[in-house]
This record gives sequence, structure tokens and C-alpha cells, in this order.
Amino acid sequence: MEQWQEPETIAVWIIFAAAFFLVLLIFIILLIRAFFKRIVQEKLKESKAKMIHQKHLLDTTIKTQEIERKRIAEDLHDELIGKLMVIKLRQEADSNSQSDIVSLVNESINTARRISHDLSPPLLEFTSLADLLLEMIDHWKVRFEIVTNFDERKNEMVSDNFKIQFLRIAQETITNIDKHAEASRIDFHFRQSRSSVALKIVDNGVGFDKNIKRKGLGLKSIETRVQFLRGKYHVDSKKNVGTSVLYFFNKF
Amino acid sequence: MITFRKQCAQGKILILFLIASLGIDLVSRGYEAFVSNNLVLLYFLSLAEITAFSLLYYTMMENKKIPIYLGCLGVGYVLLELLYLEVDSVALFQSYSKVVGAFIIVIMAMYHIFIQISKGKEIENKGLIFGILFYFSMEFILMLPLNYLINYTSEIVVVLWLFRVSVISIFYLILIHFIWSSGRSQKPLRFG
Repeated sequence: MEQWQEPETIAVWIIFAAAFFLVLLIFIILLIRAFFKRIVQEKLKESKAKMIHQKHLLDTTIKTQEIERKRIAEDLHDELIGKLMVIKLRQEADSNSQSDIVSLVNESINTARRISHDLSPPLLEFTSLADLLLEMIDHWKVRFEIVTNFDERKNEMVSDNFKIQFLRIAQETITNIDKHAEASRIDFHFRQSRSSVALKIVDNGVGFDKNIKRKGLGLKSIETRVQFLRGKYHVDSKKNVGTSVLYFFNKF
Repeated sequence: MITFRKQCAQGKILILFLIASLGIDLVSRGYEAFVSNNLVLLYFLSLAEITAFSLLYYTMMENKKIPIYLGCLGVGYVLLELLYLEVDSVALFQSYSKVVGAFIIVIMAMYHIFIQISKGKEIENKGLIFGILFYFSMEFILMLPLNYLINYTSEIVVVLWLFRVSVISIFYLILIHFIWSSGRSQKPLRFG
């Protein structure tokens, strides 16, 4: 009897073949698993690259915006205010001129100067964050009752970029209060320590429903800048009581 | 023009393997003329395959232990079978050395592919790697019922032998193509 006709031999062949197919199956499963893992890793890599690109885009947009603002501020200051000053001086020298024209020109000069300073605060690098904030708040004292509570534990060197973005956030918040809150009083709580800066702005306005999403340009601009400075913010509002916004920045 | 010196390590191993295979084939023809059967040369072919492909994966793998251990295991098994198995009777001849050799090479091929894909690397010499996997998987299946294939006479057996011949032809063509493409000597440029 030939070997292949023996049942033991056939059984061995079947076992070997089954074992081989099992190994092949395990290999295919492992291969598919590894392949999908690779796809997931590549997608993760891609999304990380996209995030970095978006961050870069945001940085560039904000920086370009600042450069443009500075240019407008300089144009306003050097050209418009200069020319208004000449008109004012001529009007003052002319004995026949009317006093209301002089006062109007004076007002125009002040407005242009305020816009210029808002666009690009002067002596930014030599002024502390708290002073810059106080100066900015000062303009709003004619419209609101303003209470300030400043706590500067450590006057650490803050970059000009941080200062300007921080001021824009505060400016945008006050503009929002002015436009929508119908408030009469604003409280500013500012605290600066070695590694963090916090600002809380509280108004006594009409408040709003937090559940209704409001995504105006102002809020978006605030969000973008907070994100740019890698900070956090929290809004709390109660109808007919007021709104408080807290900004917190860890590293600057 | 193909030159041995210009070959990469894998190319050299494959050339030596082809020479060894040709040698075994020629010897088997002479052996058949003088002795009753040439089945004993299957062991030598198995030894040549295990040695050559273990060396091939040794040059390609980062983990050198796997081809060394598997190669030694395969060679050990073939030598044991060679010592103890009856080769004079064709009716009783059932060797598993080709099967074990094929299985070991398939395991090395699978491990190599799996590691390359896991590490996110591009698999180099895809044609050769998948050719090895395909050929030795077929060898495993076809060489398992060896006793049946050499003793039973029917149309199905002829078909199976023909199928094996075509698989071997494809595999040797892959090997030759690899050797040709890796050892091609380029003509020097006349200008610059």
C-alpha cells in the first residue's frame, strides 16, 4: 500500500494544510490591521499639519492687520492731524474767523488723535500693560462710570505683540458693551503676575441669553485673538443683571 | 550586461541559488540514470532553498535573529529527515522537508512584510518579496501530498504537475528579473 493511501498520512496532510491556512489568515488579519493603523497615523499627521498651517495663517493675518493699522495710524497722525493743525493756527491768526470753526477743528484733531492712538498706541514698547489699559479705558470715562481694580504683582516684560493683542481684546469687549449692553457702569479687574495675566470686565447692562449663539464680528475677533495668544476666556451673563467676561493668559 | 561583482548582496545570493538549483537538476538527471530514483536530491534542493532565502532575509531584515533561528531550524529538520527517512522505495517516500522549508520561508516573508508595513516604510523589491511569498505558499500546498503526486497516475496529477511547472517558471522569471535589474551595468555617458 502506498503512503498516500494510509489514513494517518492524509490526516497529517490535512492538519498541515489547516495550520498553514490558519497562519496565512492570521497574517492577512495582522496586515490589514497594520495597514489601517498606518492610514489613521497618516490622517493624524495630515490633520496636525493642517492645524499648524491654520495657526500660521492666523498669525500672518493678525500681523498683517497690525502693520496696516500702524500705517493708517501714522497717516492719520502725520498727515491729517498736521493739516488740521495748520487750519487751526490760520483760523486763530485770522481775527475775523469764527470761534465755532476753531472749536470744530479742535474736536477733529482730538478725534483723529484718539483714532490714531486706538489703532496704534504710542510708545508701546516703553509703556506697561496696565498703563496702556488705563489709557485706553480713560477714553470711555465720558460714557460710563468706570471702576478699576489693578493688581500688578510683577511687572514682567511683556512682548509688544502681546500688549497690542491684549488691548484689542479689551477694546473690542468695551465696544460690545457700548453697542449692546445698555450699561452705565463697567468694572475692570486686572491682575498681572510673573507668569499670567488676567482681566475681568463686568458691566451692569441688560445681559443676554448664553444659549443663543451670537457670532458677530466682534466676538469672532476676540476669539481669534485669544486663540492667537493661547489664552482662555469665559463669559457669564444674566438677563437684566449684566455680563462678565474673564480673560486669562498663561504665558506671554 | 549583468555582472556578478556589480550585484547587491541579494542579487549575489540569488545567482548562487540559481547555480545551485541548476547543479542539483543536472545531478538529479545523472543520478536517475545510475540509481533507481533521484528523490534524495529533494533534500538538497530544500537545503539550498532554506539556506539561500534565510541569507536573503538576513540581508534585508533589521532583526537578524529571526532568519538565523528559522534557517537553522529548517536545515536541522532536513538533515534529520535525510538521516532517518527511507528513500529507496518510491511507494513509501513521503518527505516533509520541502514543506517545512517552504513554511519557514513563508514565515520569514510574512514577518518582513508585516514589519515594513507596521513601520510605515515602503516595501523594497515588492516583486521579489511577494513572488517569494506566492511561490513558497504554492510549494507548501503542492509538496504536502508528495507521495500522492509521485505514485498516483491520473489527469488531475498531471494538471497539478503542470501547475507547479508554471509556478516555478514564474518564480524563476521573477528571480532573473531581479538579478537583471539590480546588476545591470549602465553604459558610461560619452559626454559629461
